[in-house]
Amino acid sequence: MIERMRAESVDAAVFVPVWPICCRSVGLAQRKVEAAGISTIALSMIPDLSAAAGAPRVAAIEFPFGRPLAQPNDAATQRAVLHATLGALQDASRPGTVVHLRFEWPELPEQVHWHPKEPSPIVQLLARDPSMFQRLARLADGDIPPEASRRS
Amino acid sequence: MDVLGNRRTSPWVLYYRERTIVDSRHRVVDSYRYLSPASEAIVKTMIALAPRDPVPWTPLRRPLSEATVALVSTAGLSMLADPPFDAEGERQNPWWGDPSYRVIPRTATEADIVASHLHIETGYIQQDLDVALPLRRLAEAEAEGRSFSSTPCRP
Repeated sequence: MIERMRAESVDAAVFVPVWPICCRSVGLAQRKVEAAGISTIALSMIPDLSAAAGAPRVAAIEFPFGRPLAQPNDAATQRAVLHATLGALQDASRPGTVVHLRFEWPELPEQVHWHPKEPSPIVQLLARDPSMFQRLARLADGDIPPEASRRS
Repeated sequence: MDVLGNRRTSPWVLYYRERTIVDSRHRVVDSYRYLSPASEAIVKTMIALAPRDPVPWTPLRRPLSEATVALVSTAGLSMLADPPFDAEGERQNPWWGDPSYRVIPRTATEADIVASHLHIETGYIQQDLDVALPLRRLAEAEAEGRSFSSTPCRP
């Protein structure tokens, strides 16, 4: 991905995660891209996790997973969120900056539907075997299960 | 008079004062607003276990109005002509995820893409790509040639 960005003369990259673990993954990816000489920011719904992963810049947004920019067809909010994110990218002056964006989602949390109709494979696994919770959390400690490195 | 000796104020004024207090404390984004208690526990453990390595830094090398900006999405987006992301592999092995990436042209719309992500409702993205990959909004910003400030943000 970094080679591709260099080939396109990319100056800055805006990372947009869509679910909780993505908010960590993009922080780790940002670090690689930033170290390669490209400025980065993440538009993150879990800024605490992105910052803990060592993201250079985070624009924090309290929107549901899967819709970090706004509701479908709400171009005005999409535009405002993108502009605020780019503003944070431009104005941040020190590593680890987290800028909290002042947007409010129009629904209450209990009204929000962000989960897939079919529970994800890892959620199904956790439901079968709750001991896997700790194993999942320990990913952050570099304790990667060997299964994560091969397809099957 | 209340216990502090202040004149009683109307409910509207009390409400206004509460809002003022909240604002002056710079209320921040709640990282856990849309998480179940179990997911919140996992995330908090991940945060506690995360190594605190030095954070890399590359200053923005030119104003954004002159910069080339890339958008990176984790929504598993592929063009209809692309091989889709390997969701079946993740169904068979929940610890694994397809590590490859696809290049999305800047002119792509929801009609051109497939969102392969087993952890979110992807219907919103299939309805309007800009909810997760704001290609049209970025193109509009570029056409305006505008500069940005974080005025609508809280430091």
